Amino acid sequence: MNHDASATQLRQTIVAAIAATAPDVAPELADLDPDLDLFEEFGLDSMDRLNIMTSLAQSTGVDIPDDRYPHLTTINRLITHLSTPA
Amino acid sequence: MSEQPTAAATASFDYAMPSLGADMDEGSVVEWLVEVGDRVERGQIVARVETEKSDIDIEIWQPGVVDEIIVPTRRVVPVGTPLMRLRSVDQESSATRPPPRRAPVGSREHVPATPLARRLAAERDIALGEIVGSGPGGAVRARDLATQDVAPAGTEPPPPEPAPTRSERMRTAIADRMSRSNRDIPHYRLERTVDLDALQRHLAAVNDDRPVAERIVPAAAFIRAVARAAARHGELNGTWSDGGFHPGTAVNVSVAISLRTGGLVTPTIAEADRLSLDQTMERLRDYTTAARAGTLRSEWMRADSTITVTNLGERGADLVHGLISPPEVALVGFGRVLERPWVVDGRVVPRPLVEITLGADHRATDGAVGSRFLATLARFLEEPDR
Repeated sequence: MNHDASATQLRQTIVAAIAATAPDVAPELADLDPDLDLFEEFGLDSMDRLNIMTSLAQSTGVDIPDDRYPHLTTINRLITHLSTPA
Repeated sequence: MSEQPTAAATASFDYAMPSLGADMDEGSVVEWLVEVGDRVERGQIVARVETEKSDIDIEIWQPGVVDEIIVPTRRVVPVGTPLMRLRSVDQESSATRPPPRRAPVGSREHVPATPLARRLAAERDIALGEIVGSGPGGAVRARDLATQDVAPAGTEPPPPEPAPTRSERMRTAIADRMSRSNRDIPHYRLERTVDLDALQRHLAAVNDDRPVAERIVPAAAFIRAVARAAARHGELNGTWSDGGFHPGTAVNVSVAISLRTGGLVTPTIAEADRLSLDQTMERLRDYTTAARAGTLRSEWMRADSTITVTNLGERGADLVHGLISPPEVALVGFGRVLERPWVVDGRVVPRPLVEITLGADHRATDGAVGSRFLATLARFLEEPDR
């Protein structure tokens, strides 16, 4: 799979994780700017964040250390983290 | 409880509109999940009830066979109104058939759907299960219902109802409750800054070797510490009514969860002082997820909460001076956690600090009690290993 296709798929995985955690913001996720701070934009709290990280760790098999959470605030940053080999 | 136990094996009993929180006076059944003739088991979800705050699945705690549905859907009735009549079943046969664990009956499995889609579907009498959802995980979205709009030939479209929307009704409920609080409760307010360095290290150590799914967020530690402090200072754990204080028989902590769609819900963690940190986290996760998805359960919306915690989270204000939720006598607020200068052993060092506030009912206690409560709470948070 080439890089773009993999990133597209990761984006879909991330959007699905956010939508499952916060169904109320789901309709706004389709055309989301990938560099937007998701937590600021949608008012997601620490519990939402944990649920999203849980979902992503489970669906991708990539560990997301606790101390990385504050950095992983945009779709692009999440894609980078999830596609970088540990 | 909402149903009366009966002695005779063939007696009938009524299942009444439960009280899903101290502020609930009335509600309406949005959807019946049982029909006449259905056998119901203890713990089974029998209906979905709409309150001013959210839709809530309600359970029955006595097995029986449904004889009559008394209240149709969408009719607002006061708490305590009989909703359906059931026939008791003899204990032998109920013992041979274990109840289905919390599973909805028959084909009415839980269909994933957004709260808006759920409401529109109920209003238009559309079965969600028959719609192909375009949302994540096949969830039904409001737009998926658009194609279902055309009424079958010969049927009149229902007349438009100018009833207030859910969020308008929630706003009204909050307005009433908070006006009452502000009018009736003479609040005194205290605050204390707490150093969370030790707690953060403790949680980091706990979380370090755990998969993401089992990690603990600070809010769970806050709630547990409040519950334990409330157990020590029973004067703040209870209710004020009929001119006197009534101590709670347990520490039932209401947790204020704000909804991004507006308003807030306050599910209650029962006997929160007896829970481990993991158990507290599990409840908090369940409640938050359910609150956001609009699937709170009636057992969580208890009318017997004894104290409330409000936590503004990481991006909110530095501290919160909230209003007590009557008939309770105390509200504990947590602001955001910020790195700030703090003096430790004579030296200024950066520390993660949180401003904790206590709003307490001056009819029930005086500042000295509140102050001791905050000191206990601070100690629980500053010495998390103890």
